[in-house]
Order: sequence, then C-alpha cells, then structure tokens
Amino acid sequence: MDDLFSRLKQELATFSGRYPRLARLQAGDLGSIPILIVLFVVLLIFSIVEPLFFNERNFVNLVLQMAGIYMMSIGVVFVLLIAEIDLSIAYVSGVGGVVMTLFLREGSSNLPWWLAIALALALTSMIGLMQGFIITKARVPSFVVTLAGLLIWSGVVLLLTTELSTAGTIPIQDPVVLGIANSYLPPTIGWVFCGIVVLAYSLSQLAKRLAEAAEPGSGETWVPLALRISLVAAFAVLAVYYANQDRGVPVVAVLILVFLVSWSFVAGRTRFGSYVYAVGDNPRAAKRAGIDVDRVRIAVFMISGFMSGVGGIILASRLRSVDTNTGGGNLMLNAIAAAVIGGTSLFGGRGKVSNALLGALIIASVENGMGLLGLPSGIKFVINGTVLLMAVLMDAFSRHTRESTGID
Amino acid sequence: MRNTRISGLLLGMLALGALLTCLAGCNQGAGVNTDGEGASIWVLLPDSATSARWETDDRRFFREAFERAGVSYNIVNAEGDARTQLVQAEQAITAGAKVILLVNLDSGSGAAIIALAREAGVAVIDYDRLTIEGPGADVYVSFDNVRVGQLAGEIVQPLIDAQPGTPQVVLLNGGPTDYNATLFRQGYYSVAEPHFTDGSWNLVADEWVPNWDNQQALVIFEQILTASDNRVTAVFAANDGLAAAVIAALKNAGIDPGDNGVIISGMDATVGGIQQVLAGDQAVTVYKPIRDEAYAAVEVALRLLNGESFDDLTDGRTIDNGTNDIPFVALEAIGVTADNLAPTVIADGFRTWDEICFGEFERYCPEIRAGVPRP
Repeated sequence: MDDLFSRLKQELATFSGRYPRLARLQAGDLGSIPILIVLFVVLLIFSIVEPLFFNERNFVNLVLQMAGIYMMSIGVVFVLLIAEIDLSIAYVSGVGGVVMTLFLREGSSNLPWWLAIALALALTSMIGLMQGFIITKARVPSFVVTLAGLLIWSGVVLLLTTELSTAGTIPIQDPVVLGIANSYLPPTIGWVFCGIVVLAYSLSQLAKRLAEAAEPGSGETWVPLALRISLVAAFAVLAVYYANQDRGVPVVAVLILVFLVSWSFVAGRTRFGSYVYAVGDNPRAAKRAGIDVDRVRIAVFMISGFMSGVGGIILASRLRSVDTNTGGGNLMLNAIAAAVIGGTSLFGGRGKVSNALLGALIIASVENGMGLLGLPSGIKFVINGTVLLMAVLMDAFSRHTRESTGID
Repeated sequence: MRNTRISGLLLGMLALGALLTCLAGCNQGAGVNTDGEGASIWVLLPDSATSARWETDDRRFFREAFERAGVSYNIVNAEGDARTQLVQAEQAITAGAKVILLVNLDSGSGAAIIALAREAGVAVIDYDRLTIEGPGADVYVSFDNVRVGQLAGEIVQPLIDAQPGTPQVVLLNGGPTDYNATLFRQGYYSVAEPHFTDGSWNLVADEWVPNWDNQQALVIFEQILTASDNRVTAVFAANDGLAAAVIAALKNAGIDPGDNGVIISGMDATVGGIQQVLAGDQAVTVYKPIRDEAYAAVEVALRLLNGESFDDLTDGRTIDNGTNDIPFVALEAIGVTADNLAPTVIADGFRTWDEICFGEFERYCPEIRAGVPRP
C-alpha cells in the first residue's frame, strides 16, 4: 500500500514536471480549488432543495447581500496575511455608516454625499491607523487591542445613534448614497461593462503569460490559459444576461470589481504587497531584509479600517438607514469567515483578495438559501458554523500537506 | 510554553474586561441622591447605556410624580452592573426605605434583591421587567406586551381585510431569545390567526430575527420576497427597526409600500418609525407612554407606603413569574398612526416635531406644530 502510494507520487512528480500548476497542487497548494468545491456543493444543495435559488432575482439579491461582507473581508485578508487579527471591523464599519449618515442629515450638517463619504472613510482609516499604531508600538497583541476596539466602537455607535440624535434609527435620504446599493446598470451599459471586464482579464492574463514565457521552464501551456479565459468570459456573459433579466447589473457589482482589482494589484504587483506577504511569512527575515515591518503593519490595519468603512457605507445604503445595532449581529463573524473560507491562512503569508470573493459568495449563499427555505434561526446558526469549520479544516489540511511535502 | 502564553493572554483579557466594566460602573456605587438619606421610596434604575429611556424619561417622570405626592424619594442607577444594584438595594434598606421600585438587570440579581428586601420587611415593585426567579416581587407594573402586539394587529386588520384578493401576510418577529418578542408575536398572531384558519388571509412566512438585527432582517425579508415572487401584501414587524428593513427590502425590489398598498405594522414609536408612518410607508407604530407607567408605579408605591390596597389598579390581574402569581398593574399602549400623532407622542414630549420633521420628511409634517394635550 505504502509502496503504491510512493510510486504514484513519483509518477505524479515526473508528470507535473511538465505542468507546474499540477506540481503546486501536488505540494498541497490547492489554490482556489477547495473553495470552488465548497461553493459548488453549496450551490448544488440549494438548487436541489429550492429551485428558486437560481431565479434571476435571487441572483441579483445574492450580489447585493454579498457586497458589504466582501468589502470588509478584503481588509481582513490583508490583516490575516501579516498573521494578525482585527476584531473591531464590524463596529468600525458601523461607525463609518453612522458618521456618514449623520454628516448627510439635512437640517443639521447637510454635507454633500461625496464629502460625507470621504470624511467617514477618513475616520475609519484613522481608527485603523490608531489601532495599528498601538499594536506595533506598544507591542500588544492585535487580538486584545481590536477586542478593546470592538467594545469602544460599539459604544461609539450607540452614543452617536442615541445621544446625538435621540432617534435610534436615522434614515438616509441622499439619493446618491441610497443609489450605491439600490441602483442598477441599464442593460446596454451592463454589456459594455461585461466586455471591459472580459477584455481586461484576458489582457492581464496574456501579459502575465508572456512575462513568464521569458523565463524558460516556467509558465503554463496555452491550453489551460485559453480555457481559463473562456470560462471567465462565459461566466461574465451569463451573469450579465441573468442580471439583465431582473433589475440589471447592480452598481455594487462594479464597486466590488473595482476594489477587487485594485487591492489584488496592491497585494500582487506592488512592492508594498510583497512586503505584506514577507512580513506574514517571517517577520524577522523581513526585518533583516530591510523592510520597515512596523510601517507595513500599521498600513495594513489602516487598510482594514478603510475597507470596513466602505463595507459599512454599502450596508447602510442597503438598509436605507442606520440604527443602534449597526455593525452588530453576525457581521464580524461573516467578514472574517469570508476571508478564511476564501483560503486566507490564519497563520499569515498566504491568501488572495480575489479568493475572499468566493468566500463571501459562500457565506452569502448559505444565508440566502436558508432564508429562501425559511429555516429557523437555530438551524441557521448550526449550518453557518459548520460551513466555517469545514473551511478552516481545509486550511489546516492543506497546510499540513504542504509542511509534510516540504514545499512552500 | 504555549499554554502559559494562552493563559497569559486570557488573564490579560480578563483584566481588560474588568477595567472596562469599571470604567462604566466603578464610580456609580452611591448614585445620585435626589432627596438624601432616609428617603422612604427608592427607585433602582438599571443602566443608561442600552436604552436612553431610563435617564431621560423615567427619571424625569418619577421625580414629577414624587414631588407632586410630596414624599421623600431617591433615584439611583446601577449603570449596567448587577452587583452595584445589589449594593444600592442594601443602602436603600439600611437607609430605611419602605418601598423599592426595581428595574432588574437580570432575574437572578433581581431575585436576590427581592429576598433581601423581604427579609427586612421592605415592599418591592417590579417595574417594567418581571423577575422570573424566586418568589417574585409584591407587584408588577408594566405594559402588557401581548396587548401591545394585539393593538398593532387590530389597527392594521381592517386595512388588510380591505386589500383586493387574498392578502399575503408575513410575520417578522423579534429576537428568538427575547421573551418580549414571544409576547409581541402572541399578540398580533391572536389577531391574524382566525384569518389564517378561515383562509381569508394567506400566511406567507413566520420568521424570527436573531437579536432584532436589522441587517439580518433585511436579508431574511428579501428572501421571503424572492421565495414568494414579490407577492407580499402585509407585514407584521415586531418593531420599527424591523419595519424599516422591510420597507428597504421592498423599495430595493422596486415596490414602494405606500404606492402599492403594502400594509406594514411596527412598534416602539421611534423617530424612524414615526417618519415611516408619516411618509405612508408604515401603517402604524405602537407607543408605550412611559409617563403613564411611571405614574402608575408611583401610585402603587404610595399605596404600599400607606398600607392601602391597590386592587383597583390591578383589576384582579396577575402574571405568573414561574413560581407565584404576581399582582399585575398592566398599562395600555397606544397605537399611533398619522392621525393621532400630535395628541399622543408629541403632546407627551416623547418625541418632538423637530426630531421628526427634517429633510424629506418636512413635507409630511403639519404646518402648525403644537402638541395637542392628551385627553
């Protein structure tokens, strides 16, 4: 039995010499494959028990329901990449949403929408900066600092919504802010958007392939590349067609892609991004290599604050109001779970902004599907927990295989 | 090595927790003395953080009622700390209080306070929150939450009956772990149930929202809408926040509840809820006049102080706290629609026109904004 296994391994090794992607697979770096499997299973189960799940209206719902969580999970990915944690994200997002709403209030501050949003995002970024500063300079674990942050910012949300306005619930009236989560691209613009996305993706992948081809012995063959591009194109066309059957492509979908691409670029193609991965992999080595580790850490917590603010604004726009419980509930858990389910390692150095989108999609699908089925709250909690556990187990599993094969 | 690290971390967290609790409550042991020691009636309020009502409304109305009656009194606030409240109860007993008006922080500490008081021969009134452990207080003064739900149901019932076709009704209940949410649902379900059984209304969904979280309510209701192909014509929402989530979900789906005649009921008379009522998106909200509740509690306290009977106030009603039947002074809530806003919520000073009428809502507000005194 053991003999057979080792022979199989050998076979695979010679085979994968020709296919580098396969080599990585064999080494335990499963990339986004386990997430895609989980997503597929979730979608399959729901489409069997509730055909409405694949209804075009529900598809648009899913995008809207995922948006806020995903924005926040981008920040979480960065924080997890440097092997830290930010427990304050949900209430920081709450502060962002509430502050923006208060700035917009007609009759009191009455600021234009862009200024209110900019101020709210500046504030949440400052909160992240402050927490990052304390974590790095005072050398207190991020777990404790952001736990304190969780309490503090939940208090601030409560104060802002009760003391300052006595209202409890504050409605948003600005049409632009309401439009963030509640407006849709006209069908033709939707198709134009689809074309741009597919074109940009193909070009970026081609450029990458050509750059890799310059180094001999690396790079994948043309066939899987073409396959990947056509798969993305097919998915984009299908998604836009589907959305156009209902209300159209939501504006938040555009926002999601803009943030996905920008932050993927920052993480994958900039010097700062490589520093982030380096710090997460081995902070001491990073320091010796001359990276200002503290600055990278502080910047990452600032990103977390900023993206929490973005998520908070989208969530507020969707609810058309903010209230005393803004940022509460299962928001923090969902945002962190989206990043973790999306394959971001809790131990630093491994994870992708784009994969968190799949994680957010899984989280939102589970909630969405269970809502369609009208399951009782207790069952929802159990299922949510199970999905999270599965994802973390997958992370642990792929880490162990990687360690045992000795390839990193 | 790893274990010591983790336990160190836990220790740090505990210390942090203690510090934060202390920030909230350490200094509050003595509370605020309104009438000094030797007061005969003490009011033990729970906190000022989770709800603004205790400090802004209850304290003010208690003071008014006590001053009018001319008795000595003392009002203290435990700031969310059950131990502080226990100490305050001990102080009250030591200072010679005859009656304690208690808003417990949890039933366990409430029962402890009641036991202490009983031993010292001090009467205890459970105010707003029922202590459901131990023998219970001498009397319970509160709104009847089943009745609150019923009231909302009764106001929207004719509106739903008037809808063309079979009304498609959704029950969006509060937190599944909050007993009040259960009582509210009991109330509006009692109105709706006969219609469901005789088939004149169709029950589309009956769901609970964990922790009354509005974001979750939004997703839950969006999914109810999707599953029913947008065919929802009436919603019993367990508070104004949940009603807001329902309205947002409908508007996001391209259905304006006002224009499309979707009937939505809420509760609590929050500013947001009243705005939704004025804008025609929400049919009704329920106002619990805190002034009535405080005045009734003071009246009961005075009777207890003078050893008089308060049977006329309870009307023979009792409530089961799990051990005993506690005499229950039940207050009536008021259903608020656009028509009776001025003589109720506004006249009581519970909400002001200034809070409600800004921005878009300005145009729904009346020209003359004086509160008409409540009859």
